Amino acid sequence: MLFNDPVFLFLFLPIVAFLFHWTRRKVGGSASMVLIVAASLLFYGWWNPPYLLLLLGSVIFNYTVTHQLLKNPSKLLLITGMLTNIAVLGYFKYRNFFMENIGLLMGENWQFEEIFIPLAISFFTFQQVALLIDAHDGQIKRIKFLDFATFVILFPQLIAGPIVLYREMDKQLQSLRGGRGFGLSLFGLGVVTFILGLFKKVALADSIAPFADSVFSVANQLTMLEAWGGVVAYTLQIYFDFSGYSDMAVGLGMMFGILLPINFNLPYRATSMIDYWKRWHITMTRFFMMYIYSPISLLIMRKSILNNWSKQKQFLLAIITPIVITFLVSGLWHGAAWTFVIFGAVNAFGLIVNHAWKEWKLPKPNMFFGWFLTMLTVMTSLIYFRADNIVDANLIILRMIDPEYLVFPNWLSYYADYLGISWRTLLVFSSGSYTVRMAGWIIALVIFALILKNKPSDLRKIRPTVGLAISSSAMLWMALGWLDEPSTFIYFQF
Amino acid sequence: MENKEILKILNDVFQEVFDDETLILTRETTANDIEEWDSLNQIKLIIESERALNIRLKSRDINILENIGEMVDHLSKVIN
Repeated sequence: MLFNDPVFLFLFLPIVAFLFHWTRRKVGGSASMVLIVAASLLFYGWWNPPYLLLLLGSVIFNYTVTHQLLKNPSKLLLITGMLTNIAVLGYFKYRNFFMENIGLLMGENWQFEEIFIPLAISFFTFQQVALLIDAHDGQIKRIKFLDFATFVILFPQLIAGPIVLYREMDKQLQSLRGGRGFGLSLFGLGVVTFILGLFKKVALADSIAPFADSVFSVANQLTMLEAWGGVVAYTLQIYFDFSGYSDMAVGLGMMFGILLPINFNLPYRATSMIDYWKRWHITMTRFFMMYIYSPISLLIMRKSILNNWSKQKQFLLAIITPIVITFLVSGLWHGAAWTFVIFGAVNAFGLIVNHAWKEWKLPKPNMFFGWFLTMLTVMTSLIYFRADNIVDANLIILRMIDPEYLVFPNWLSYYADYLGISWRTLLVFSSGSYTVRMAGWIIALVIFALILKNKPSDLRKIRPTVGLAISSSAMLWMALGWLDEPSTFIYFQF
Repeated sequence: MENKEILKILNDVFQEVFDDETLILTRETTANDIEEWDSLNQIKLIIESERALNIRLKSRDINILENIGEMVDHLSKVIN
């Protein structure tokens, strides 16, 4: 079931929300949690019932290990628990990729039958691995099965995050179980946040998607302007798709009296790569920071100080190494393909340059130039993220920068002749009306990307006014008007 | 060691790491208040705090803290 599916919007959500709050008031907090866990299982099973067993098995296994870790924080048990989670994820998501690449190294062309990747496996695996580590570290004191199950299975965040840490949910779940918590007080705000997310997904992301698709499907026939148009369109599509999803998740959480963390903070306003990664997919960055980057970086940095390494050696080993490892994992987390590894590598490169710039105290570039360089790096990484293969991605980049591909469409022949630029009938920009529509969408979405805030602190300041009612209704009306064919979310594949 | 004293030592550490002598920490200061606070500076803060207070910290313990007040409380627990 998708958040933008009419079955979810008009049947599942109203019924579950009503039953949840009715149960919470009439029967009690625990009963309402049982209800939402059951509803979340239905939500997950709607897509592919047999994989419910995998989700349930994962929850039961991880709860048992957590329970043992709380009694006896053994390193061996933690490693066993983590490896089991990673092995399951590896089997479904990475087995074919690694086997095919081992085959290639041995000069063989092994082809394997495609394995169906269970929905949300990357998300619920990460969330539970983090919980095992926190239980081992003593960050969690005790945990009840119902709290654990709600934490993992809760449908607003089950499929594609935000990646929540147990310690930030602990008190909320206890309050919910005890019949306290936010109750219905956040419901209205949740509805507005959900509508904003639905609008971003259906009216913005899905409207620009065909333009991006049309460019990425003909990588070897593009001209410079078409390649740039397609890449900018995709850069906007992925932001509105994923931040729209995240807003819907946060809004749904509020409707059930649960505050989920935000995932985005106006990322396309970032003026450096460091700034960008503080604003983009915040909960994933936090996970990688806490459990991969920081431990490695701290370990090597301590060594560097102890052994009095030179600044260059320290930078190479204590700064570059953890960034490369983190983004290699991050790339592969997004998908088992070399395109995702390069996506990670481009981001790592951008961050390394950014850190080197700061370490050697080079003059700070002006804000606009910083923004331009950041967006260029982000867009380059997203070309690999979106393209079907590395060859296509390289072709698109080549056509964006090689002057040979600067060709005007035939309907601009007058200006092309005037400027001495060649022209012909183009594949994507074949008609003026199509191109102008695409340019119009891009300009509108750039403005939206730069002004539509997504911080809950901003959202919680929202007061019910006539203006808010009109703008929310307009967004809902537009989103529902476009809701003919619910499209899936980009991040569901991870 | 008193929390006030820890905050003062922490203030010196922050001034050194961020190369800003005008930086004044309060218990309410968060990472969002200091523009230059990034993943690398976070590691440097841990290392310099360890050196200044002669303690050993875990990166995850620091990463989860919400503000300087929580950091002072955590350091106080480790020291005492």
